[in-house]
Amino acid sequence: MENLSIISGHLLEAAFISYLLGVILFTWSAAKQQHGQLERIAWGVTAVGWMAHLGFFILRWVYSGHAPVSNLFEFMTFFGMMLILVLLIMYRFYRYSLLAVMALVISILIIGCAAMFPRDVAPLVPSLQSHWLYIHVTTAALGEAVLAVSFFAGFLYILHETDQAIQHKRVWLIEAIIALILSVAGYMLLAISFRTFGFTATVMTADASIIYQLPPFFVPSDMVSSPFPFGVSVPDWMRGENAALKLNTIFVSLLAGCVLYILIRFFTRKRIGAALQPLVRKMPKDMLDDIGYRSVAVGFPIFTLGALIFAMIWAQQAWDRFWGWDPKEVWALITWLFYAAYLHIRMLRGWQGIRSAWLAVIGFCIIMFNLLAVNLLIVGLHAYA
Amino acid sequence: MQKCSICKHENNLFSEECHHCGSTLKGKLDMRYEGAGRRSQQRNQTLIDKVWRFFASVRNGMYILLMTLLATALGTILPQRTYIPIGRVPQEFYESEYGVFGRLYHYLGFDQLYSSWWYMTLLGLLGASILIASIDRFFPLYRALKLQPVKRKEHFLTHQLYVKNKEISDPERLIRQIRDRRYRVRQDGEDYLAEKNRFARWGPYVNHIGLLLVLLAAFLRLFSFFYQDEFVWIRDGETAVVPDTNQSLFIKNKQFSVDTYDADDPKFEAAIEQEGRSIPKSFTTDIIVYEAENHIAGDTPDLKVLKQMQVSVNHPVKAAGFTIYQSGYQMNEFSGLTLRAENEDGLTADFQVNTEDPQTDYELANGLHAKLVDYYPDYQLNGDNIITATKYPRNPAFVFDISEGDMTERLFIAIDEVVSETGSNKYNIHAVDYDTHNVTGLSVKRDWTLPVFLLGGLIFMMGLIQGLYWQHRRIWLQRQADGSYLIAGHTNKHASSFEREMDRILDIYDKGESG
Repeated sequence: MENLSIISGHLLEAAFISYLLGVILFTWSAAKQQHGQLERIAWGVTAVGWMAHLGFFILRWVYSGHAPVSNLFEFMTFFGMMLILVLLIMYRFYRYSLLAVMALVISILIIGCAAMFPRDVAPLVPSLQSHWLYIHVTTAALGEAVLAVSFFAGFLYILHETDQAIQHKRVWLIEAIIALILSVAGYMLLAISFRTFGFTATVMTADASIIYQLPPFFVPSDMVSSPFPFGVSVPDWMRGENAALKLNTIFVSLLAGCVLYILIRFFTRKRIGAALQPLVRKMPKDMLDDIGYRSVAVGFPIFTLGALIFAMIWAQQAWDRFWGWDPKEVWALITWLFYAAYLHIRMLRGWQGIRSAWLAVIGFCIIMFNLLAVNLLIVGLHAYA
Repeated sequence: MQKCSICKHENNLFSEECHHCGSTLKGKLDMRYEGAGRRSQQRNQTLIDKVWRFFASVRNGMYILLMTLLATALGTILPQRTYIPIGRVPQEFYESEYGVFGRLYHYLGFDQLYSSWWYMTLLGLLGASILIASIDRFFPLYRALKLQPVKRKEHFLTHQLYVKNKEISDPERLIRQIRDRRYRVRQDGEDYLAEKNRFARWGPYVNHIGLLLVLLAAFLRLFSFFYQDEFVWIRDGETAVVPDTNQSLFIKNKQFSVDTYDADDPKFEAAIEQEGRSIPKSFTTDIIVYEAENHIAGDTPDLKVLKQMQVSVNHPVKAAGFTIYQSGYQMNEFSGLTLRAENEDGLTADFQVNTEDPQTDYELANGLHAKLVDYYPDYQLNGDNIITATKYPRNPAFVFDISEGDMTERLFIAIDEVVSETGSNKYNIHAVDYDTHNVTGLSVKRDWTLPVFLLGGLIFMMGLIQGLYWQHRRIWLQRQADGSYLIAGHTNKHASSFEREMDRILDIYDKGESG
């Protein structure tokens, strides 16, 4: 039985590597700007990676005895898997390599971040022991993955539409989004390399010792000793649990993101948005707009069913109330309200195209906020995932 | 695709202006509501007209929706009052935890935002907007689609999304093509109207009915008539009456049990170690539900067994019209304490205190006397004040006046501490023995709004799928004077796939022609 867990871990690694390979192949095919063999290989490699990912999921399920969607690591890897599934299906209808690149990059980052959370197989507490666990979580994740496609299309649309020479505000927003994505990549790279070299810094405070997985720039205000020569005390008003640790992670990630950004700019010699634009230019932007709308039209009902209706039925059973204004519930409602607004606003004159694209970007930010920030910043009943 | 008449750029069928040069494209008909006249557009005289017009506007509806969204998000910045630790005073909690901001948050009532009058008002406005905007659109649209003729004016057809002029020698064969793609075809003379999935147009109105039902259910929940939420703590082996049931429903806790995961299980070893304590596997209570018979006020009622069952987390049970949920427990609650009083000379006296209902005076051996001044069943320090967090003896503390002749000393006694309040330190009382029991917390609920919520949810889902997963498509074929056909097509969304379908239909027809 022990073997199952090990094999399943290796399958996830294999999937991760296939996805990386997929990104390279799809980018190459986008740069060549022609449909053909390369694209098919890229799709195949991604599909093989997804099969491995599915294998990871099934083996972990068999080993642990419950659907592996019960903590942040498991949920995030599952969300990554749903993103790739949606990509593989969508690609049969809309053969745009760049859409695939977007989906793969986001999925890789999510899986990479997932690996930073505890990966042990954990037993289910009584409130999670229900079939609704996998019914609710899988549908919600699938809905979010379909909705995410509107972000991929929207971002490409914005990249396509922006005149790098004139529209300064938009240009800088694009660079900011790219820098943010790079920060996540930077965090992942740093965390993986520090973990490989076994780096940890133990910061002693008056009554506890905190283990940092990254260099401790920010330390609690009551710090006694740190292995690092300098550390900035976090301001007094940040009192949440592990506030210093979280602020430090955010700071180091942004720092790494900036370093990566500068490095890339050093090679491209122009804004990253401008460097990417030639790849996007050939894409039919009306089609991108269509894909964006379609993905919301398809994803919204799935999301409603999974993240609200199934969630409420289960909450009534497990917590004796279907709705309790728990932060995760509330943010699912906010996501739902936002996409409902998206569907209506598109009907208004002049809200298709670029404005819709920006809305799709905001929508994805809300989903990501609910996935990560609500768990890490706001403590609620969904503390496990 | 439509070509811009100025720069020849190919634009999406739905585009209103050219994406390349920005010039206005050849006018398309606004087909959203079939051009049907709506009340909100026609009348604007009385106050009712104006209110109607306000709520019928999708734009205004969106403002209300976005305000609701922002208000909803505002409530998650700090925890809502229901989630602050039990026993904390809200005002003190928000200020001490979150400083000035917390104080302001509490002062503005954001700690109970979701039950505030203005949040309810927003939801009410949203409901009004959904209702009025739907009525305003549905009836004109329904009539227009029901009464639509096959023959349309040329202007109507040439201003559709898809327009094509084509020689068709065998219209019957083209119609067969169209029928094969599940269109329903009507004929009028030599003209045709093919239509499919008209029901998709009703999707938004169906889902709005669902939403209104959900809002209605939420509104009904404001009245206690529609639901009853009770909570009972019952000790092992004891029977408790469910509050507010007119003394008619009793529940006996035969046995409450907690099961935990085996910490040596190789599968979960690592996770349990990470957690630092044992992880519960199940919380279960064996219960008997009784109904009181021949109940006369003040008498002990005769209990008739209704049901014997087992309730656990995630597995609620139903009895007597109520649903019973396992939703709390308390291990090792104190049922009785043995205290030992001691004077300076080492003379001791033991006495029993019932933590459920303590006596006030205790005549002790060796001439000692204890008088209970104050009792805190679940004592907690809140700043400098001693409070009791609950009325259950989970952490009992007492204030005793202990006296011997005319000497009196006031003592504060908790399980693990004794403080002399008069400061003379001549006497001491401490706990030497105790009895404990387990308590199960059962939530007993009845809610008639649940079916309404569920029905609303179902109807909403049906409407969503109906409206978003199908598209209403129409094709008009009109014979021109020169014998060719004017082909016009319309879809209510996803223009590009409709365009593909049209091209495919005509393509197959053309191939058949040559072959």
